[in-house]
Amino acid sequence: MHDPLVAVVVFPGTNSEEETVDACRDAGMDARLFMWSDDAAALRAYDAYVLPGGFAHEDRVRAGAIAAKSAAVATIVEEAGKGKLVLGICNGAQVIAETGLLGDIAIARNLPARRFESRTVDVVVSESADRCAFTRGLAPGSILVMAAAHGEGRFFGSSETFAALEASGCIVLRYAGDAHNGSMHRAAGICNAGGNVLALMPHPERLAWRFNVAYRDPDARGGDPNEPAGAHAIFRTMATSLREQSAEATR
Amino acid sequence: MIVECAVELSIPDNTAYTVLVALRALGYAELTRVERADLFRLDVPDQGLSRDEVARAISGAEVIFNPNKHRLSISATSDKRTEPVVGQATLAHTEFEAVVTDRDDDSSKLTRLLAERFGLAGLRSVEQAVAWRLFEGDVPATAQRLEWACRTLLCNPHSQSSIIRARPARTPVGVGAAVVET
Repeated sequence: MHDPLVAVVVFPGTNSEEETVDACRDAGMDARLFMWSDDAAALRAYDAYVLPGGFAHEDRVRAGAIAAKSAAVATIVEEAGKGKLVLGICNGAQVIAETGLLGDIAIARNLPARRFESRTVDVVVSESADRCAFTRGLAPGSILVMAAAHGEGRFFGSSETFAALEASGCIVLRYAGDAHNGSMHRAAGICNAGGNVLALMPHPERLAWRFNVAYRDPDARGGDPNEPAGAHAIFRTMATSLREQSAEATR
Repeated sequence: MIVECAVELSIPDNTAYTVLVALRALGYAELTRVERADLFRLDVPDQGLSRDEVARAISGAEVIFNPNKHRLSISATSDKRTEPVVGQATLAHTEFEAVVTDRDDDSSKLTRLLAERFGLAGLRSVEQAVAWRLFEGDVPATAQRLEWACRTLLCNPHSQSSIIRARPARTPVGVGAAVVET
């Protein structure tokens, strides 16, 4: 069985593509950079997609708004409809929200700060983690430390929309304690109804190896500093889900 | 009284250019120019500062605009909140603009800053928005075109609201000086 082929899509202004590729590869996926201006039809050959963090098109108009209108993202939306996995991290999550893949949800400006904030955050795995391909198998209540770095990271929608998200278990990751950005229901990561698309605001790939997390996690000290650790679990889970998809398809 | 300040870039506006390219790519081939202004609607007491005094305070504070790269103007008819005009006003030669506002925004810090540090005594609130104008050659786009642009790109209905309105007459404000009538 070949390693799952993953496109890490780069837009003008993307800045987290290299570590995202590394995180995918260390989880056993064949991750490759895909430029936004390449032939979008070529994306159909990939098994999954990651929209990494950054400031696509300089966040002009709204974060993610311009990238969401690109041919590359239109193709990814179509492939997501067929069940392929799509992970949006930070700016990638904003792009996903702008496409409507998550339904009636926006990712709005941080409140009350109304400005860019960069900090580590504790993210709690929800009880409903098993409904999402990127959190399936993670222990509910366990904490993943990630790096939040955004000015527009507040998951926002009507109270009815969020009640429906709660009922369906789509809020699979939450900030521990109050959300620094004012996100409704403390949402840090929301998946679609199919569980194959995840919009995740904090960055797992920035705290994904021992050398990233040892400063605060004694268990991560010693050994190989380049060994995956901490929030890398998101990528391992993604790889496992892709292998299960592949096995299912060949059955 | 509501005083509406419009802040526009006097240097090239890259965001407006990006919108021009994006809307053309999305099918609006006739579009040739996009203009953008940040709007600040200041709610000041009727018996308090005059419109000119507000303008002088804003231009002197240099909090919401930078005279090195911005132009500041204030609405000449800003005594009440604007209402949408689509479906009501389709007069020829009317210049429309789309005004996009974030829902659930909080400008209380800016309000306090302007009221307590920059002489806008009694300022009750500041509401922020972005005004967009589209042009086909020298001809302003119709309200219907603006509505399409909001639906297509400029406004996310889940976090923002938009109205299309006749563009109000605006008076340029000189830097640190009295209002200059044109």
